Amino acid sequence: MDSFKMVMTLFLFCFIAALLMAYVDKKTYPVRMKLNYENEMRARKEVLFMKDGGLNIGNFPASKYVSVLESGKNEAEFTVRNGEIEFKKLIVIGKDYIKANIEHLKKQKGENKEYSDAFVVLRSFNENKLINKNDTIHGTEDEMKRGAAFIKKNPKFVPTLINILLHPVKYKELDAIEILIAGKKQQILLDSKTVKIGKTDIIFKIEDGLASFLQLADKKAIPGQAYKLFSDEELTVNDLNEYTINKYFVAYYGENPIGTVYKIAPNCFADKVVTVIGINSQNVVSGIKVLQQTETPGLGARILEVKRGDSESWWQSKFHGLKPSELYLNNKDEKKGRIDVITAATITSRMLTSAIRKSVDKYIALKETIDGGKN
Amino acid sequence: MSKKTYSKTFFAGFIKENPVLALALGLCPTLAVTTSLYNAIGMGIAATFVLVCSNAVISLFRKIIPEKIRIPIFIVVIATFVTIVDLSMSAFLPELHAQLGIFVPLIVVNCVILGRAEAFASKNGIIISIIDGLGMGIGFTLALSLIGIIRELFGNGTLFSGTPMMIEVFSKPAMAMIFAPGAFITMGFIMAFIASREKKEG
Repeated sequence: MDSFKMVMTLFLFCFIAALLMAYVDKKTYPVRMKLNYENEMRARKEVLFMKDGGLNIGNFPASKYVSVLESGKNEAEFTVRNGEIEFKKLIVIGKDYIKANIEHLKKQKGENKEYSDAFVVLRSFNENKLINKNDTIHGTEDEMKRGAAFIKKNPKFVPTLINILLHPVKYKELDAIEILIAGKKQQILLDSKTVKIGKTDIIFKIEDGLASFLQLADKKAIPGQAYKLFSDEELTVNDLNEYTINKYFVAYYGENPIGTVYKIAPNCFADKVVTVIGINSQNVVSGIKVLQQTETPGLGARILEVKRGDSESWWQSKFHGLKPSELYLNNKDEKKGRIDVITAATITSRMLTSAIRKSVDKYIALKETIDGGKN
Repeated sequence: MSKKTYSKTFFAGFIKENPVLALALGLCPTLAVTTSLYNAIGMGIAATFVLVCSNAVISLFRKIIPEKIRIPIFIVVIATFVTIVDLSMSAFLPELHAQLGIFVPLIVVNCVILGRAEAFASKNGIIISIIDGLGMGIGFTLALSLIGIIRELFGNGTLFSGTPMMIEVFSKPAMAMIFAPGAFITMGFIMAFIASREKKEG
């Protein structure tokens, strides 16, 4: 009888404990998942836009770019050559014009849709050949098809989001902007807000876009806040290797692939260290970001340490702009290496660096086979 | 129980029965986590929460917990609160959680908590157990913070790292202070200091 009572007591305690833990787990689950998701999305964007070797509009193919308003007016013209951007024309729009435009667009859309805000339709344009001068290309599928066909023919079309970045004044007071891009299901990352563009066609806020863009034009600063499109296609590669890249995400600017982001989780000192890696189109690492780790606090965990005034971990910032051949530790033995060893965290440093190097090699090889297969 | 007993219980954990410096309990997190003040305080608060909650629950049920299986039940109770802390921390303080890493789940086997459950909460009433937990928790936090601030200053050359107020004091610190020996040395000096003071007071 005594043992029965003991078993029952223990069981009761365990049961109540399990209920309590399940309750807290359920309550915090959405927050944790949201945090993870946001972290990964932010990391994906960030690793492509780290300071050195990162991507910017200067990495665009040399060409003349024009951005066009709904009215058909050229709002901006600029050329990109050898990474230099030269503006020829830039129109800043007044508030009245914006209001009128919004009214016009709302009317066109009809009342049955519950969009509280303006509709932005952005058009591609090349060498003074507009598609449909006085019309908008949102709405009908036919127009979408035409738009897509146009883009296919003219790969150097104006990246649509440039329009938005050029005209934050125009869109600032709006809650949301709807964008349709040639009928393609795409994901847009802008600042901290992630938007899926597809059937739902919603939405993000815009802040400070103009400032960063114009700064870029002056070559004073690179717009850290970005306007990137990630393709929805995930490439799955299965390989029984520790450094398998399962999925990688290609970032496009317009139709031009400008970089790739993928995630690895190599074993380091304590456990797997989940890291997001960005590679630009020149096969140079544009940045890395550690998402999850359980290394020793004060030692291996210093891979996350951020110095005062910096926005990024000092250790992770060493990876900016490195070629695979430079992805070694700068110990005495490896003079070509560029990565510092964290004091007393040699294993974390070495394992993570070598995993990143191997994954980059693997990615480059993979990319070559895919590209080779296509052409 | 009189007010005097309460205050005596509360302040006992600060110096006289300080879990780290006097009783030398819970040294594993003490050694591992006190590399910076921020980590130390975070760990201390987490442990205090678990200590107070587990003390309360255990003293509440002390009469129905069979003697023979009291340890498993203590562990179950403590583990529940640790899981709650771990999950909440990962949701609301993700950066601190990332820094503390494995040591949050390890609060389960922290001797301070099990020790107080066994030595105090299972023998005393609920209110005094809560007060004891609070006092011990604050004492634990204070000890951790003291060790943390010293080790961070000498071992890393900074103060308040991990927070926006970080100050770089000097640039070539004594690395050994960040490692386990540094923790032992710091702790040894603090313990010796307290012991000498107590001796003088007689």
